[in-house]
Amino acid sequence: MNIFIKISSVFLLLLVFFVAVPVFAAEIRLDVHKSEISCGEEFLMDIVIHTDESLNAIEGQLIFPTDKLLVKEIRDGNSIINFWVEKPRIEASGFILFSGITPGGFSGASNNIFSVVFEAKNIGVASVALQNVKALKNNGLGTEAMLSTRNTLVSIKPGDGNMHKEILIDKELPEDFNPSIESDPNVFGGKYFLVFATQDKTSGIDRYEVREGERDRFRVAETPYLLKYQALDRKIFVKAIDKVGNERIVVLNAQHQAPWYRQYAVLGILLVIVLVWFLIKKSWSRFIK
Amino acid sequence: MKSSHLLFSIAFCFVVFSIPFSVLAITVEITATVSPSPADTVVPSGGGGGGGGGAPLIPATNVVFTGKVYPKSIVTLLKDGQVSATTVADTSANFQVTISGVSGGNYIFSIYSEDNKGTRSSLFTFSISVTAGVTTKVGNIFIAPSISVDKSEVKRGDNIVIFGQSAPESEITISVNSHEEIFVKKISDANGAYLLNFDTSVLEMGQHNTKSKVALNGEISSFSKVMGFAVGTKNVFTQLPDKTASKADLSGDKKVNLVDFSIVAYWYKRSNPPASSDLNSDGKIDLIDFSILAFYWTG
Repeated sequence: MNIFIKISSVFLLLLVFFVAVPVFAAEIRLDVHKSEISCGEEFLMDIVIHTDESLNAIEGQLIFPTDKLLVKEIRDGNSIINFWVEKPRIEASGFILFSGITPGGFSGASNNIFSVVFEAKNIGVASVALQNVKALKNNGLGTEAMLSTRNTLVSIKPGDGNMHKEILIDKELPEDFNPSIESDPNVFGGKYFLVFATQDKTSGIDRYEVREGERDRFRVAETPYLLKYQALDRKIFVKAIDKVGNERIVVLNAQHQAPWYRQYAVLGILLVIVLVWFLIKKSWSRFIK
Repeated sequence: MKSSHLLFSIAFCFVVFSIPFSVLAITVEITATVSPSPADTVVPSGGGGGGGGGAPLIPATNVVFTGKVYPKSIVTLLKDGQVSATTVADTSANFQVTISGVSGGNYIFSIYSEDNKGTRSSLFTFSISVTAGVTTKVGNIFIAPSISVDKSEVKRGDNIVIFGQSAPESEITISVNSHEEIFVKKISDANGAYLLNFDTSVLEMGQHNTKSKVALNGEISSFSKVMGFAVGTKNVFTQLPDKTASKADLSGDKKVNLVDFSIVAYWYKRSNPPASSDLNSDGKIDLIDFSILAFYWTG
C-alpha cells in the first residue's frame, strides 16, 4: 500500500506540474504589471496572446466589475491587430468588446492585442475575465484555433494617498496615410465612398473625421464613409486623431471642377464687374444731369 | 491488489498525459526565418547632410530589408497591411528595400513577390519592434518558391507538371503528399525556374497537394503555397494563373486590401449580404469572412 501511496503522490505532483504547462496551441491572457494595487491608483492591464500557429483574426469580450474598477483609457497603439472590425471600446457597463484582423497572420509569444488603464475604485478583489474569445487560423478558411484563456484577479488594498497615474506621453502624429475614393455596386447603392486607415504607434488612433469642401465642418467618420457630395468637386480633408489629440490631416483634391457658380474667384470677379458697372452707371447719370 | 493499483496508476498517468501532448502535436506553418539580431541594429552616424545648423540632428528611423526572391521580380513590402514600398530584385534574385520616416513601435511587415508567369508567392509576414532614431536591418529573408501545376485533375499514371520560380541555381525540394510524403529535389536554372514531371502512378486515386521550398548557401526558405490536384480518370488542364488574387478581391482591382476590408466591414452585422462579400457562404458577415480576407491580403 505504501508503494501505491508513493506512486499516487508522484502522480499527483506530476499532474499539478503538467497542468501548469500550456496545453493549447494558443493562449490569451491578462497581464497586470503590479502585484498590489492601491485604492485610487491607476494601473495597466495588457491583453496578450501567445500562439504557436499563425492566426489572423481574433474577437472577444473583457468583463470587469464596475464597483471595483473604472476604465480610464484603452490603448491599442502597439497592437498586433492592424485593422479593427470592432475597435476595443466599452460596449456596456463592465464590458469591453474587441474584434480585428492581421493580414498575413501572426504568431509567437506576448503579442499585445490592446491595453486598458484601470483605476482601482474600492478595496477588495476584482475578477477580470475574457469571454467568448475566438481566434481564427491564417489558413484561408477561418478555422477556429484551439485557445485557452487565463483570467486574473486584482487585489485592491487601501490607498496611502500617494497614487500612481498611468501617464502616456505621445508627441508623434498619427502616421501618414492615403485615403481613396471608391465605389462598388454593393456598397451604399453604388455611391462614392471614402476608405482610409492609419496607425499611431504610441497612443493609438482615437477617431477619424472627414470634411468635404473648404467651408463644411469635420464630421466623425469610419471606413467606409459615404461622401455627402457625390459630384466629387470639392477637396476632401481626412483627419486622424490619436488618443492624446495629435492630428494628421490628409487632403484629397477634387476630382472634378466645381460648376462656375461655386467657383468663388469667378463669383468675386463677377461681383466686382457688377459693382463697377453700377458705379459707372451712377456716375454717368450724375454727369448727364 | 498493490500491483493492480500500480498498473492502474501507470495506465491513468499515460492516458492523462497523452491528451495534452496529442493536442500539442499541431501543424505549425512557418513562412521563413528572420533574425534581426542586436548586431543588425545600427545607430546612424548622423553625417551626410550639408550645412550645419543650430538645431540638434534627429536621426532618421529607417528599416532596411534584404533577402532573396525571384530574378527580376517585383517585390512588394507591406507595413501593417498597407503597401509601403516596392522594388525589383536583381538577376541573382537579391533585393533590398528601405523605408524611412516610420515611428518607433511594433510593426507587422509582409513581403511578397510574383514570378515571371504572374504567380504570387505566399505572404511572408513578421513582427518587428522598431526603435525611433535607429536604422534597423532585417536580413536573410528568403521568399518561398512560387508553385503551379499544369493539371487540376490528372489521369492516374500520367505525368503532372509541377513548376515555379525561385533563386537561380538553388536546390528546390518538392513535396507531393500521399500516404507517405514524397520528396523530389531539383536544381533551378539560371532564371530560377524549376520544373518537375511527376509520374502519378505512385499516387492513389483522390485529392493530393504539392508544395516546394528552396535552399541555397545554407539558407532555407519555408514551404510555398500548397497547390491541390486530383488523381482520377481524366486529365483536366489548368489555365496559367491570371493576376486575380482570389474570391477575396471584392472590388475587382486584382488586389485584396483596405478597399475590400471596407466593403466587408460595410456588410458586417447587416442582413442579406451579397454573395460576393460572404466569403464562406454562410449567409452572414462575421469574423470568418474577415479572416479569409486577411489570408488572401495583398495590400
